[in-house]
Amino acid sequence: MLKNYLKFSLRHIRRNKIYSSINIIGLAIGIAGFFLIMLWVQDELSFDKFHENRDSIYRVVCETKGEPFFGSPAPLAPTIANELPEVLRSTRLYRVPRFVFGYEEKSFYEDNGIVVDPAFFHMFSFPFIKGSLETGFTNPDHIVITESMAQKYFGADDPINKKINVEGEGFLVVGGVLKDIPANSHLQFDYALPYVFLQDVRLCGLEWGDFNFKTYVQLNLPLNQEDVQKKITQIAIDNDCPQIKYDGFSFSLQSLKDMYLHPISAYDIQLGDMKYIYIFSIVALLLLGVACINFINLSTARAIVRVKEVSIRKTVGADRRHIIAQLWSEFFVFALSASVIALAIVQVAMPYFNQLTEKQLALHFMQPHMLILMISAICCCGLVAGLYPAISISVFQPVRLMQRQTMGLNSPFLRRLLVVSQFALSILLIVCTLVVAQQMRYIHDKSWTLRDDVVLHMPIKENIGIKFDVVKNELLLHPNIVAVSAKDALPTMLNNNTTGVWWTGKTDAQNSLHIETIRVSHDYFTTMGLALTEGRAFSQDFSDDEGVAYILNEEAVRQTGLSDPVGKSFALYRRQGPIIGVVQDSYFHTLKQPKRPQAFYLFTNLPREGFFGSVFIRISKTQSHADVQAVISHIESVWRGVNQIAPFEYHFLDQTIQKQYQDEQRLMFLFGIFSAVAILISCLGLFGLATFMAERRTKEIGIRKALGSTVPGVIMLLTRSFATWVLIANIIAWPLAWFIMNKWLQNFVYRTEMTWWMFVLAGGMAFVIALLTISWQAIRAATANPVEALRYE
Amino acid sequence: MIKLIDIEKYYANKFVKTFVLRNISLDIQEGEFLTIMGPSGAGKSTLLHIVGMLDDMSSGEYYFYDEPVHQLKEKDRTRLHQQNIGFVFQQYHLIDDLTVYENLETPLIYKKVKGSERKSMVADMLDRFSIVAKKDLFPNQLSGGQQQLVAIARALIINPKLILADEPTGNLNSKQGFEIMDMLKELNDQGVTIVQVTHDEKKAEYGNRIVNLLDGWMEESGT
Ligand SMILES: Nc1ncnc2c1ncn2[C@@H]1O[C@H](COP(=O)(O)OP(=O)(O)O)[C@@H](O)[C@H]1O
Ligand SMILES: [Mg+2]
Repeated sequence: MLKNYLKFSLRHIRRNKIYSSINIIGLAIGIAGFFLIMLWVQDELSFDKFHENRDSIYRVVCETKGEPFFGSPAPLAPTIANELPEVLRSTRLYRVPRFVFGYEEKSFYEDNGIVVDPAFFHMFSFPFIKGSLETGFTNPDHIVITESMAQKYFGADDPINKKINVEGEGFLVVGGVLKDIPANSHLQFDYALPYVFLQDVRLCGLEWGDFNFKTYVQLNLPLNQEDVQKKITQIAIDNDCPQIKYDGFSFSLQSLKDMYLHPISAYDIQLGDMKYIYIFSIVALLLLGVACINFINLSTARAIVRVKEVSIRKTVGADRRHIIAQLWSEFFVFALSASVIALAIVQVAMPYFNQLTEKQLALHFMQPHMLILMISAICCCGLVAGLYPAISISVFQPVRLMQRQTMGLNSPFLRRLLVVSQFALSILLIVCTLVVAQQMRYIHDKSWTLRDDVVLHMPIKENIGIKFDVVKNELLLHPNIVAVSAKDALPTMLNNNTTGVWWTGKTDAQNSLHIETIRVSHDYFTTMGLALTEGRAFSQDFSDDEGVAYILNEEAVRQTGLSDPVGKSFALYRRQGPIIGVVQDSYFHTLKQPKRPQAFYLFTNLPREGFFGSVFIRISKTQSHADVQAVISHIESVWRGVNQIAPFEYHFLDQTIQKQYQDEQRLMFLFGIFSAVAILISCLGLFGLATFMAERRTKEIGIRKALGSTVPGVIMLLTRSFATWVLIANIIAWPLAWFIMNKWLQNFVYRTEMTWWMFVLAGGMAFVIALLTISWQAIRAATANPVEALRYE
Repeated sequence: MIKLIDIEKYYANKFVKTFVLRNISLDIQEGEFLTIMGPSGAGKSTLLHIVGMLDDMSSGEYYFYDEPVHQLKEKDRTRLHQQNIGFVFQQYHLIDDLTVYENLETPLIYKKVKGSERKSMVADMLDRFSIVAKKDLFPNQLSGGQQQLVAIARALIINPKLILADEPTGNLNSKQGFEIMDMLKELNDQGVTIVQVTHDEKKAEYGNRIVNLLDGWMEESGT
């Protein structure tokens, strides 16, 4: 029996090529999209799961009056591990600023280093492959590096006990080599230094008041989280941690399992985002849904043709179960071939998809959950999608056949509903894509006001700081370099955000106000193209400026409530001085974050204070590519004139700023692609439906033409009903799209408006796509010879 | 064999009932060759479908042997029909996707006849109708007469006790038509009960009893 069902299913598929291929291809594309997205989702969800202690590791988070903050003071980790029996182990983590490392004649910038306690390697599963924790991670000059970093510096040589040169000033001894950090780890690093390193080289404050560290703890389970949080906070109070004791902050715990997908604030390691997991899961289901709707549509539309076959089968003795089994086996064959094609598509698309997502995904057929996913996809498509068509076809009374009519089948409500919902989904996706694109453009436009000009930046490394004046003068010798300045960090980074500020008229309520304090050199505002709205900029003509004069940005003026700020007093810690000017707000950070209040003041010791800073170089407008290259060569020669070790490096500021949106942009691009795929599948379905309708109406069209109807008249006849469907679909999709995108835009502090044209454009696009798809069929039908059409019957 | 008592059939739409059959009472004996005649639209086909259990009646009683068909569940009706009734139509109604061989095999599959047995039954039937050479062709590769032969072969393959033929020669030329009628007559001689619908007086004479239908009312004319 089964063999017969399958045999006839295959026969049926072969003998109805257009219908079958549209159905199978549509389904295959849908399943392929579903798989790709699910692989991505699965990878995102797999973050940090490889740690053996994943259930017991927590991060200490500082709850402030505003957004929570992931910093904590250096003494916290050892103190709580000693005093609290609940804490099994603890480690501090400090991100090392960029260093130049060298070995023999090789040298590289290393951005990705951490300082941790030895317990770190007991808590997290980052195994050593050479050396050991006990012998290679104890001295201040020990360094542990990853396999790839070892390869980079030492090639095939044994890295253990090799000496790495740091900034030409000192040496670190390789004490161990780690297995490469898995891509699905939220902690990414190339090398690690033991905490004792910091006691030798003071990179940051190590007191109870300096929140420069992340603290990770491994707790004894089961655990009373509330209770432990209280105890940690109490310990900080007992040790006179000022932020906790006086500002009313407290400590809480965040599980390792939440760290990747639930960043605690916009400034957190913003790697993953649960929101996108939801969005993409929904898109995956939509793809599958659209493909299934196609399937149902085409199959039920075909029902009219199959009435005859089904009726005959019934007259020769089939009952309903036979018919359903027959149809189902057919749908199953559809789904199965679609799945096989889908897997082929996934395999082919994988490298491109990986490039887009910057992941290393692969399809493992033998993984049980992949098999389960596959089987459920097939069952879902073949059976659920086949359910309605199978039942609706099987219930025909065989007499319908003899009556040669298909009453009640000409306008099945459900099929219209499905076509309309398919259109509605397509329109919804188009609107979403448009809004997303618009928001991305808005960010691009808004995020930097100087797009005509070019600003380059290079790190203050080796002798750049000490010889800054020389460097600046030499740079300015080039005719196309109009301004040069320095800042203590990249403007995209949040640096020195502090409550330790005072101004004339500060109230108690403003005690928790954070102001970002920024050290710059002369000409900073000119270089960055920021205009002063009040007062003046720092100037060499006023020797008093250095160290005591402040310039606030407009947001700082607004939040401090200063009226007429120029001339009023401002203080950072105990350095008090006059406010000499107000500068316009800049948008160097991402627009997901609110505007920052900022206070600028001059470097007093640039080589020391600017150690992690950058030099900014503004190039005059409208330079050709060759001119820009010439400027860069000039900058390089200046660099080489003062530096011996540090490799030359420069960046375009606008690219640095755009990089902050890279993840988002990449995801949005993916979203656009999958929307397009969904729309493509809808079109396939529409095409199939149109083909089918035109076929069915061949006779009617023949009669109409015999009676004198024109070709355009016939085309109108065929397109009219589709037009109505598109209209209804618009009415459904618009409010839905508005609602969803409004929610999404809420993520941005600065956001574009949704305008009516996006909706009209989406509706129009859907209409045009539908029109194009069906007109081919309509024209073919309309231009056919009417005699032939009539003879057909 | 068949006993119809006061059969009525109507189609109801919102306000009106359109009667197709009224007060039909009919006995058909085993081995009979009954002819139903009447103008187009009189309800002949409807009556045949009801007898063949392809359609429900609106009211009335129907006994097939002693089984009250009007009270049976769909499953049991299908079984009765599967075992006992073969259909032949004016438009042949072969399944387009299946070869001659497979068309013949289909009723046996539904009747759950074993594979080996099925093979020999189909082979017999192909032999008997001299269509062995055509067994792998699809219906659209055959002439009308050949298709009707296959259709009759398909009706016969389950060894039915009753054959219902709705204008079986309507689409054939007269030579083919009489060949088909001869074949039905032969079957009747072997004991198969036959009910046919026809417009043609000559073909009506093959039967041994004629029933006339007019607007759903039945009148029996003598033999
Ligand atoms: N589904 C239906 N709804 C309404 N009327 C129907 C339906 N099916 C058949 N009829 C009507 O029943 C009548 C008898 O049809 P039929 O039995 O096919 O007649 P005959 O076979 O004698 O030509 C016709 O008038 C036809 O219009
Ligand atoms: Mg009829």
